[in-house]
Amino acid sequence: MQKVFILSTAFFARTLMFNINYILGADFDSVILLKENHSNFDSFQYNVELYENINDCIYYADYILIYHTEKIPQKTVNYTIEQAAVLDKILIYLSDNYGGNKWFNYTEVLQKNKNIPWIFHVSIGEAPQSYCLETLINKILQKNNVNFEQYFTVASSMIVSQLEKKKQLNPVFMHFKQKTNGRKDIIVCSYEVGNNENNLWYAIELCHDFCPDFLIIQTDLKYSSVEDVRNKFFYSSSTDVDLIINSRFYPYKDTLIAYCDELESTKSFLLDDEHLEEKIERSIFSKVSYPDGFFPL
Amino acid sequence: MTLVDIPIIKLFMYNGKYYLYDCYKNRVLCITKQLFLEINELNKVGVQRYIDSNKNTTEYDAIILLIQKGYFKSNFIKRIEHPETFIVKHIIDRCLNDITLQVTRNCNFSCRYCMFSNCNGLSRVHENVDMTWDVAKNAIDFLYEHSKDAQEITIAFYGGEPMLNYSVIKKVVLYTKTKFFTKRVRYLMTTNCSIMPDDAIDFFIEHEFELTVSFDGPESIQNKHRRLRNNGDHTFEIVQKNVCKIKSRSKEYFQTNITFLPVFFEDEDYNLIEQFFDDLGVEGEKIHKVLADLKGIDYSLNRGTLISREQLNLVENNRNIDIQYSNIYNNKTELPSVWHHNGPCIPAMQRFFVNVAGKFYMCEKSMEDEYLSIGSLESGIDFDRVRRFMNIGKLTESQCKKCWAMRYCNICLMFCTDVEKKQISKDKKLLACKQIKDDVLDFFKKQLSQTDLEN
Repeated sequence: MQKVFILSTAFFARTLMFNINYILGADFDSVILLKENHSNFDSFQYNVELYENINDCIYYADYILIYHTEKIPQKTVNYTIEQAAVLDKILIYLSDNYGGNKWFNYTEVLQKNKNIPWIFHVSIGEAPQSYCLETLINKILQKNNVNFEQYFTVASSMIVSQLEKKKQLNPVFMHFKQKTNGRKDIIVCSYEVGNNENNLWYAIELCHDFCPDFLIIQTDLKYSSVEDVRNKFFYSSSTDVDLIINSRFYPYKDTLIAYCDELESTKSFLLDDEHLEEKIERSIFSKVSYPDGFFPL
Repeated sequence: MTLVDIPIIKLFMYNGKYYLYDCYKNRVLCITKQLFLEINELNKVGVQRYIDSNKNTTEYDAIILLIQKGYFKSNFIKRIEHPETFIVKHIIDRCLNDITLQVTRNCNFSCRYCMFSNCNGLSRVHENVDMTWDVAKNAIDFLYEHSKDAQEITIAFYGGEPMLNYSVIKKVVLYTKTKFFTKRVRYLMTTNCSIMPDDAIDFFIEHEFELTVSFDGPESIQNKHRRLRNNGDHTFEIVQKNVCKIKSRSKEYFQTNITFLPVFFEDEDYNLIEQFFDDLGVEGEKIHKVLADLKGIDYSLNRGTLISREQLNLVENNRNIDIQYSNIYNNKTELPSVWHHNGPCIPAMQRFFVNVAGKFYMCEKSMEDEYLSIGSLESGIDFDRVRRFMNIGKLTESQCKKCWAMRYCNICLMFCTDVEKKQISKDKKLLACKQIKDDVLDFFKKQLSQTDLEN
């Protein structure tokens, strides 16, 4: 019966909350959040406790996870770290300014693994919450005992690397899991396009050159050109988009990202869909996997 | 029979040459006189009838070619609607990050150019009404409930002279500190700096208040325009003393957090003002000079004229407008079928104004009239009105759909208010339309003369 307090902005708290038990290998039954950033009317994947005062959040938590972005006042972070020590709480401090993140050259990766099926996960827009899907794909593949290599987006790699370095990452969460014979069943590449058209064309070029076995497009709610993107992939690389997934965030101007609980998306799955894991699992395996005894060349 | 396919274009002449601007393609083409006349004909009869006329001329062939290239499109805007209309409730409900509290309507100064110092019946006037702590607290609670997804908060204190209700300002700051932990809170205040006790200065330094001081500088100028309300006495001495007091308490704070807002008239020597602030140790970037509107002395002129004048000043600020227009000029993307011209911001998302009584307005410059209110602390945001204000293009929907300058239009609600009749007015908007079209045409001509120079 453990509780974790996530101290971050509304967007990052909600992002990190996704799959938190899996990522940390924990068994939290509640997530504690500040009422400043979340409302009682919001829907959450977990049981959530909201407190108005930061002292209550710290007091009632067993774990404290800080994701420090430049917008969060240093004073608040320092205070939380101090209090965590005083009250003997387990503290995990992550920063969005971590230098040890990895950037992968996908052309090289795919060239090296040319004959291995690969899943291409492309996130577009300002707030698609790529991290959520990257960790979910990891979870699904682990659960099905698949041998895989996973290449994260820079933002997700930053979180995973920090957790790994601090020995807080779930030991089950492996991104380079291989059997002793070294065989890889699948490669997963996540790529963040943002709003950069050149990045999108790079993703299309990868599809053209290496034909993914499964293509997922993930966007925020503002991104309205999904059909256009689907056509671009299809007509420029003959790749059909297998899944479209939306976050629940709508970026407004440069700095604001609004959480939109009530908006429904008709053409795609939403990240908080109750059965998202099953749906993705079914879609991926029905297309990519082969029965025992068959090995794609 | 109604002509339904009149193209959305503008024909114009400049420097003895003939030009066509096509709105859909967003391109200006230099054309011959014959083509000019022919397109003028097309513009009268509509595209289909022109095509059907099957003329056997070179101009006809050239025009058909342009039609095939996507020129002369008509009716491509099906509906006028601000693209964020469907999401506005979510944005305001979660991303409010900037609030201006009118802590008092009272002011101890009577400044010649202050619109609130004059009783013209069109704007609010200074009066002895303060915001109560209850209203202020509710306003902060409202901000708290509507800023879940904001990353930074700005609270501005506005008057009258806000220091006349310093106790509420202080309470607001102390209360805010107990509410916001993950968001940096910026405090802003515009003050005439006549009331500045030591403890207030220390409080402002501690909480990093960003102060904008309405101070004209040289004694002769300050005393000419800014007098005490109750007896008409000069104000220079008291303001100067307080400004120096802030500087002596913290030079660093003075240099980083204080901005001066001297208002001067066209016939005054700005060098004197500059020299004054230079001697005071104020860097140039901390002085935001404002040119007073000479008409402003006599506020029996209606507010509509003042707004137009204010907007005109913006338009006259060629550099900004040119950059803005250049960006549009270079944008060759197609317009979507559902569209709204530029201009309207999302009400409440920029300098959301809460007056002494807890009523909401778009910004502090807004008239505090019922027809411009967007809600109140009691009733919350009036989303119907918000949607109406951000969709002012609907006032002139039929004209907007056919307007050749639609890409360049930046008319906001401010242009559409009839302050005398106290209503949003289509006629006022159409008046502004004319001005925008003239500006766009001037911009085109400027672009063309630059191209001529380059060639």
